Amino acid sequence: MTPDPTATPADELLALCDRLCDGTLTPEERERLEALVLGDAALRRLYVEQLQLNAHLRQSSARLSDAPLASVLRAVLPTPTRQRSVWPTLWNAAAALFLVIGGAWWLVTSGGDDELAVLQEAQNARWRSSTLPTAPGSTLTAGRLYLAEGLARLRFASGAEVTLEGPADIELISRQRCRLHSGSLVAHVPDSAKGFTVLTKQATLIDHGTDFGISTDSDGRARVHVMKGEVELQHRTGGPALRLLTQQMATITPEGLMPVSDLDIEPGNQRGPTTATAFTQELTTTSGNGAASYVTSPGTEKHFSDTLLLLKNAAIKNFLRKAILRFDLAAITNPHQLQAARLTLQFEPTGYGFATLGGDARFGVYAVTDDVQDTWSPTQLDWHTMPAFHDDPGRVDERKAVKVGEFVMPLGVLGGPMSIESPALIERIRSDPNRQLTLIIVRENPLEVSSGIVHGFAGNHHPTLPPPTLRLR
Amino acid sequence: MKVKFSPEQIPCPTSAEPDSSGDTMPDPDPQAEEFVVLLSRHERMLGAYVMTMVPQPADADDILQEAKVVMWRAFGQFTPGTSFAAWARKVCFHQVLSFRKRRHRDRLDFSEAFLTAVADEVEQSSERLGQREQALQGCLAKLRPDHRQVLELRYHEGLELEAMSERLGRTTTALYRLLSRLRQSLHGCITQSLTTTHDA
Repeated sequence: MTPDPTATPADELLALCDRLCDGTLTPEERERLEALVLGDAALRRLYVEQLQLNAHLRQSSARLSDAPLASVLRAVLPTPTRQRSVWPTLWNAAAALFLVIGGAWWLVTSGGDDELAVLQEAQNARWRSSTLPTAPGSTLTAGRLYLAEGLARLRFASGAEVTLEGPADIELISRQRCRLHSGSLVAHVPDSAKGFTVLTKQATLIDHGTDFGISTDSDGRARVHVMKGEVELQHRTGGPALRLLTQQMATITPEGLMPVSDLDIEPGNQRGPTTATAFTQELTTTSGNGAASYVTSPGTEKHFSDTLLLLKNAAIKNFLRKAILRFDLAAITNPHQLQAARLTLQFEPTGYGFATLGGDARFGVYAVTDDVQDTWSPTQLDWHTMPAFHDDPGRVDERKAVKVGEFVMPLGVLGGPMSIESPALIERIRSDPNRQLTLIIVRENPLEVSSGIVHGFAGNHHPTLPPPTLRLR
Repeated sequence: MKVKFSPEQIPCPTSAEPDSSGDTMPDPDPQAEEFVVLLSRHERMLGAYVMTMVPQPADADDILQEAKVVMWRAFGQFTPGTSFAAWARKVCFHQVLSFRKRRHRDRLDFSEAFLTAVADEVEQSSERLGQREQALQGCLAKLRPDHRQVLELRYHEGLELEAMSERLGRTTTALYRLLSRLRQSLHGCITQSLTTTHDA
């Protein structure tokens, strides 16, 4: 560091503190820092304040922004010790000590009136941006949990046990009350928790000591199944309550309640097949002359993936990505009689960028119409040479490509299958002259922050997820 | 007040004899409970205290962990009713000195005179430093979200400037200046808010 002759000793000290905290202080600077601190009481005070500020920033940084809840929890819970080989017996003692400290932490902080439930266990659970902690063992206060997939078991303080089946969106209201915004749950309600209530958009379910299941979509179309005991249903619009006993079922619609006698009917919610479409043919980007790749804007030197095709659009020059697929349509029998086509992409978190920055992500899917451009090679493609090139990261050249669909990934959703079905896609598959269908996927709405999320879906080399797939009928 | 440390009163781990059993889990007695409550109340303060002398987080963590063990072993010598914080700081101070001796990074290590002066300063200002920590949260809340994000990347994710530069699309020099400026503005904000509180 070259000393600035006009700098005051305080300025000089601050610059040295910065370098000290950064780990870039040289021995000479260390001596200078000592001299300043030892020689002046005001500088000594400033030094201590600066270093403590640095320490407190590290300690409290989990509260700085919308950090993932798990990391907030880490900041609150005692951190695990770093084992050292020196003094093994002491470290045994330390380990024992931390058990004690961990226990006491619960004593000190638990027992508040606002703790409604405990997240007991989670199986294969993937969470979306919940407002509550999602680590097993976490104490839950009022708030909302979004289980993207898997199972999670909650035990309410009243004793009621609720198993959530992802995807599910639940709001904890009190020890005896929750609101199921969408998804399914199965509850076991012991005598101590009689009166446990589940609210849905259209109805209120009051338990009288039972095992029951309820499954609802976001419009409140729901099905209730009492496995054992008794449940009372009250519709939002009033009318007589419906009492369900062991092995009885009912449906809830916006119009009212209806008992269902057919026990064979499975609960259906938004997870069920949305249409009766049965596809008869399947085509992936690995079949025939198929290919899958992505391109990055010039200047992107890091953050690549061998298994995922990456997508990003932001108001910057580098780190932008577009994905490109080629389906070999030659294998399709009777293309002219095609009635339905669905493109499915399997998304997975990429680990790049912040998911909490930016809102929902809207993606556009384009089919290249300029057939001479179908011969691209995944290894030779770059940003400028890709088919239907447009320098806008959210667009393609629409003289050479036509839009066949779009989909939205809500804020916080980074994984799972995304599908499009459209007449335009069917038409393109029917009529593509050279039987090579090139599709381009771009994120249409740009991120406002450069460090926003990078989305990714499985390409042809993912170890577990299927490649981009066309299902046809 | 000078920090006086008497090795007789507080056993130092390098001289402690290994336990034959290796199993020193104390019975959950009232003393243990008292210790745990006191320690958990002062843990953050002690962490920050160590970091005024050893700013590298990993080293500071190690020192604090060692100090906790020593505190527990010497807890019988702590006089109830006196300041646990001051007692615990003495233990930590000793651990800083012993850590420094073990490491032999002479040219980069602070002198004992310097460490003693810093420890004295903290001891004299402990109340005010506690208030400053309280005020920090309010000052962080006043920052712009993108500035909070920069602090988050640096302090929470522990990213180096190069990695931050890559994520944020800004040069390392600009980020270094920004971080420095943010720390100064937080420092100023904290000082300001303490002054305001006193005037009110």
